[in-house]
Amino acid sequence: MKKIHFSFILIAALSFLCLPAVMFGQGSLSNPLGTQGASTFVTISLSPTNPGPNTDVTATVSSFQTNVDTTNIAWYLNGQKKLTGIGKKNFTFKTGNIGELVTIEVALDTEAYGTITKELTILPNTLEILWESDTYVPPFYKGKALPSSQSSVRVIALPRFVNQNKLINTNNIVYTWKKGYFKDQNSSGFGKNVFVYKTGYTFNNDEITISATTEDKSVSITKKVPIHVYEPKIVLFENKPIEGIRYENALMDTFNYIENEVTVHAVPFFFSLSGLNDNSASFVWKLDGKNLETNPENKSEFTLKKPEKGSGQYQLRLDINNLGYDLQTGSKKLTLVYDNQSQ
Amino acid sequence: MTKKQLYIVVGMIVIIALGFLLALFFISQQGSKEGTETSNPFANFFPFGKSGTSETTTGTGGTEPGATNTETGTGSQTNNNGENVFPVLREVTEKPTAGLFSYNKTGKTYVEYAEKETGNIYEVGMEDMRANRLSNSIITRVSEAFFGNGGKSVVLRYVKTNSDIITSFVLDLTKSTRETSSTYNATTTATTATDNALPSGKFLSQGIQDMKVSKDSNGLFYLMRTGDFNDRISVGSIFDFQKNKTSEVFLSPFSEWLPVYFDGSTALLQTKASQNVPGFLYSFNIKTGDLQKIIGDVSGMTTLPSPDKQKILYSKSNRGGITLQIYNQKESSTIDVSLQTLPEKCVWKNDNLSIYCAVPNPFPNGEYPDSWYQGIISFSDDIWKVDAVTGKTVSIFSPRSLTLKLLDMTNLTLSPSEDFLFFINKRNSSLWAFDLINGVGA
Repeated sequence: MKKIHFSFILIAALSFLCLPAVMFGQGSLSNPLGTQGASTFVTISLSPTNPGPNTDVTATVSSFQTNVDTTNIAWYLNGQKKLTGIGKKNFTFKTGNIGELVTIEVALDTEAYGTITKELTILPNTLEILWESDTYVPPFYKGKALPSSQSSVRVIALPRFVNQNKLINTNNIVYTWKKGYFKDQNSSGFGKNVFVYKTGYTFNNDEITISATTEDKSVSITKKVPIHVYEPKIVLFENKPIEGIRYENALMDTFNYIENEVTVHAVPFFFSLSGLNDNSASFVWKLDGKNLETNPENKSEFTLKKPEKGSGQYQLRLDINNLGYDLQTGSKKLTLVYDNQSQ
Repeated sequence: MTKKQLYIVVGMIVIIALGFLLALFFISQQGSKEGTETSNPFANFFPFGKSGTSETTTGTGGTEPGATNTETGTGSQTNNNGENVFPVLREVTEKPTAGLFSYNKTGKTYVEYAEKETGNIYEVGMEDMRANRLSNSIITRVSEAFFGNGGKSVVLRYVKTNSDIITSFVLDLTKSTRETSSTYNATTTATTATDNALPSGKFLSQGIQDMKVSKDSNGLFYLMRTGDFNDRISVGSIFDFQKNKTSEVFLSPFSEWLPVYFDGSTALLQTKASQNVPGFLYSFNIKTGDLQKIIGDVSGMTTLPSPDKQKILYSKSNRGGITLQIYNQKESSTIDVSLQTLPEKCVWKNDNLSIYCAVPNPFPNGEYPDSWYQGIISFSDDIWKVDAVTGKTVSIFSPRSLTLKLLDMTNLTLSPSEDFLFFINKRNSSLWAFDLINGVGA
């Protein structure tokens, strides 16, 4: 008897612990509890847990009272029976447009308790988080500028909340921003959907948490986004006199140059620079260990003339140090090979 | 051993020796060519791809030999009727190309392209491979070119020396007469701009980040940034090529958008991709200003919407590689495509049912799409066709059988009648054409 009693308490405790995952883990769910006492032992979980509009969702029913694999289960979507059968514990449906309420109901025919029902309503509202950093990428670059140590990052909240069939203006939402565990008081508040911060150390993740809530608190979603801090890097390209910079093909370890001169163009990927000639960065070019003088108005480039005779190679090295950003440094080496004999 | 057996043995030895010598000969010939691939020593043995002596200039003043003859397959051979027969894989021009556009004229396929070095615009007919110059040199070091208005306008994009600010100039090519619809018009002939006739045009705003020409080529959706980093705003505008007018339609506090589709009323905006960063694709309704997510939270995602925008070919980055999928908006369903490539290396057929993709072979391990965007990794591609309903794939052709050059294909473009597939080789920006009618299975 004691054993049975203990089991019952354990089951009840576990059920109780699981319920908040359904109730509160999904900002847009409401009243997941059924009205019947027995239905408190039936749970419906959703995948994805916080479905947006026009999203395929799989609902799964589980119960500690009855074996759902051998029970006759019926699923209703907005009051209409959509699926029925023994062991039909999964049901896939699609949410409607934003703000369109979806009601799903599941009915389990059990021998011990009769029909147990459970209802769940879903109001698809969304909160997307996008972010961008102030680091350098070359013109026409189709990829993302990644944050490096001490760079600035802007995190932007894009909520799509509907209340009483009206899309709520993003300026009429209250935002609470946290970096790590700490709330940023100045950045939080009414209509403040952009959060700017400085990144930490390289290879770490900055965890940003945003809560967006309507004024009447009828809709509220919280999301976390990890933002990784990358290492800046230098990539070298050939700047051809007529064609321009060949961003399509980087110069890797060795470059054979056949023209009379070659211009090497350096791209300081992911350094916090507004432009290549931003004075906060020092570009130090070295050829075979000796410092080279470059045009201060065009410090990202170096032109090397080819000797008129013979063959050989040069070791080119570039060091970039972004002043004021201790960890934004990088270096790159390139072997330039020429051969007059083979031409 | 009988005499007969002895003859058979000697005969076999002679045949094997001759075969060996022949193979050595081909290998030595191929090895002498600098910068070529060595995996296919018999490449020159094929009837395609070897240059003839086709002269491509015409008698008009502005005509230049834009269509080059190279060892890799531009030149023609003559058939029994004395007509030029061009290889199925052709290097239209070895000059670096900034952009291209294909159209039909009098029922024949043409390609129009912008030269990077001069900004000159050429058109080349696929039937005779003659190149006509349509504009004069006014802008050098062009990085990107977008054709609009049925090929009568082109946006040339470049940066000034020692600057990162992108300038966009809309070049008006209407002085060069051509018929750009797919209907037959025997009376229309192409003429070329004379050296004295400076092409007209206009500058768009400075600093336009990215742009996309509409499906019908009448409009252009472009994005630019305003404000300091902390208060940055992305402004999206539409430029009407015919009305020559610009209107602002989009404002966003996020500015790393890449327009991947535009049809006049809807723009699909993708967040710029990096391997480990979740990517999103949004649909922006120009009329209502509504911005709705289509796909989200996909690492390193890049996208290519179908012409009717109902299906989205998209890539997902995983450990050193890529997986490819097609999302069907109508059915909210996703199918896998068993190819490793980026959507930027693909083109949809007009029926929205199939896709041609350039597929790297082999596919090197790397950080995608970053490494390819940064020019750190280059590919050598084969062409495959994808059934967008089932996800089934079929190999169309391997350029290795036709050329010794390695082709990293971008800007894939189908001609209106889908008889030619054009692409730019990212390795040197040369422009190529593949004859899909005669070349499939090559």
